[in-house]
Amino acid sequence: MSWHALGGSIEQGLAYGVLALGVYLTFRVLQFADLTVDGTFPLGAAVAAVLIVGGTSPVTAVAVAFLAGAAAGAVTGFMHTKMRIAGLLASILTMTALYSVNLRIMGRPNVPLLRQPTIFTMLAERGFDHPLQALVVFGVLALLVKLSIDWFLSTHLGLAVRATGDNPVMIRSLGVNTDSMIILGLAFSNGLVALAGAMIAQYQGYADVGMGLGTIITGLASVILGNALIKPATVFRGTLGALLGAVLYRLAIYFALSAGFAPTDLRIVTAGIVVLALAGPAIKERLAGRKAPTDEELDAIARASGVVPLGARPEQAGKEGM
Amino acid sequence: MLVIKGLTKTFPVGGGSVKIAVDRVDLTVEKGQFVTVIGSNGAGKSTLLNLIAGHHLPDRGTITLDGVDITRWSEHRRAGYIGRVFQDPLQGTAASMTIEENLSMAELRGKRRTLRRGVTPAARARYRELLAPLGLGLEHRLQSEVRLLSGGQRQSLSLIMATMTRPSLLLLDEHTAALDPKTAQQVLELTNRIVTEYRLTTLMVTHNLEHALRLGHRTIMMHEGRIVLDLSGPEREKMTVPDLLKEFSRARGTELLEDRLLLA
Repeated sequence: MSWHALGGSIEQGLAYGVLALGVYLTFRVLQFADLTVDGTFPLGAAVAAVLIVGGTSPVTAVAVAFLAGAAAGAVTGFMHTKMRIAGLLASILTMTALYSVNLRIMGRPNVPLLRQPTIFTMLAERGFDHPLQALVVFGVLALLVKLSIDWFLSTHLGLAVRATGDNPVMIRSLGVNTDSMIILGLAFSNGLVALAGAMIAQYQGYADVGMGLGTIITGLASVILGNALIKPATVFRGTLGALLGAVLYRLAIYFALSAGFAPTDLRIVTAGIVVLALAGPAIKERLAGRKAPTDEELDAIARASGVVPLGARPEQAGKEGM
Repeated sequence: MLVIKGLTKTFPVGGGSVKIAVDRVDLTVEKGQFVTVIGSNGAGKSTLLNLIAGHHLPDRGTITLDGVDITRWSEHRRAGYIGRVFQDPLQGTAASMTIEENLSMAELRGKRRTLRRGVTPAARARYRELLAPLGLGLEHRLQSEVRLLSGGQRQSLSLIMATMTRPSLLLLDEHTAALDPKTAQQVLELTNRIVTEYRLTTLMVTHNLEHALRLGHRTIMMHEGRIVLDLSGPEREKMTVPDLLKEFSRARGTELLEDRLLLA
């Protein structure tokens, strides 16, 4: 085991943590499985790389990448809400279209950033040149993004976005346009994913049109893994879980590779982890071998909750009680 | 004041034929009037409420609320002026969010939602004051998730959320039907208290004829998409549940007769 490689995994984990936080917004908050991210991750990388090569400052390039990702997320949201295309399909359509867009932006499949100024070289020039530089940069960035999501989801606007994922009927009955909330949530999420793409392109030294493959699975694996360890009872814990999950996921990959897995086998391992995690509740139910509840048990539960099943009128329920 | 004129809604039922859910309904509800709505299943009560709330758009007719024509407004836009409690206690609140977060969202009914902090200490104090009179102890549980509440507690909270901004109109769609009799009674009493105190213009759909007569100022009965009985004043005071049942079969009977005459 090399400490250098281990540190690299944590660096990457924090970098991908920003991506996981984006996926948390759609998957956990909006209850929307958004495959757009497979396109917006390389979109962010492509936009940032091309801008940097063209002479734009790396910080500006990252900001523009965020906006480009947000625009792509809004397109998925628009297709889903205004054109009534199923969410998953709408996101696949945007992702597919983004492949062409990303190639157009870059003009070729790969843009190297060697000997180009990046956020990392900029910091080094200003005296922050240390082996832990990338770790600190990604750590601070991930924390800032986490806190900004925590803050956003506690504002009036953020509460409406959360309620849109929880109970759209209810929040509409309070005068909120749920279509706008879905579009806003998808834009914010994809902006963050593109931002992660822009940062990782500078970290690894290139943008590649193929780097988005499996982004959603990486994000989902991180969110699910993290939330298995930290119950997402509050937003604060939910985002913390997503970050922690992203780091653990990178470490798991590192150990899988050390244990002799071929890098090409990683995707099936990841897919397996996600399937197991998603199937968790169903598997638990099977294993518990639950027996059918008796009438007495059902009555007790109904009495305790104060709810009579729909269809049974109070009058009837009263009579049965006598 | 709610003014409905010639309101009509049909639904396709396949094979090119349509079902008339609401049939040229005229209804005027004065400001502060509490109207109970009864009728058998499929009489058009829920469709009428859904049309008023904007969940469906009518085929014909107009809806005017406090002098403003809202017939073509989107559901969320008119929700700024119309409070609503649903039959299912799960529908009126966001389960994964806390009591105070739910109240905060309701407090902003119809207002622009910005990046201001959702739940402030001042708001918390307001919510405590609002919840304390319920006697459910919810004022001590502001930071509990709503999923932990019982059906009756959730429905009481929904009622508070629907009325806390004193909307121009309150729609109650069998909001006690899914509760056990004792809880239903408590929620009903709360309803009466709030509607009376705030003088809310209210439409309450119920299957319970006794509740329909005992609460509010006026009772309308719907049958096959039309209002077939409209009771208020002394006439309503004298009405008993058996009388109402008689009226109910009479309404149906005469209608059958009319149909026969028309066919002949």
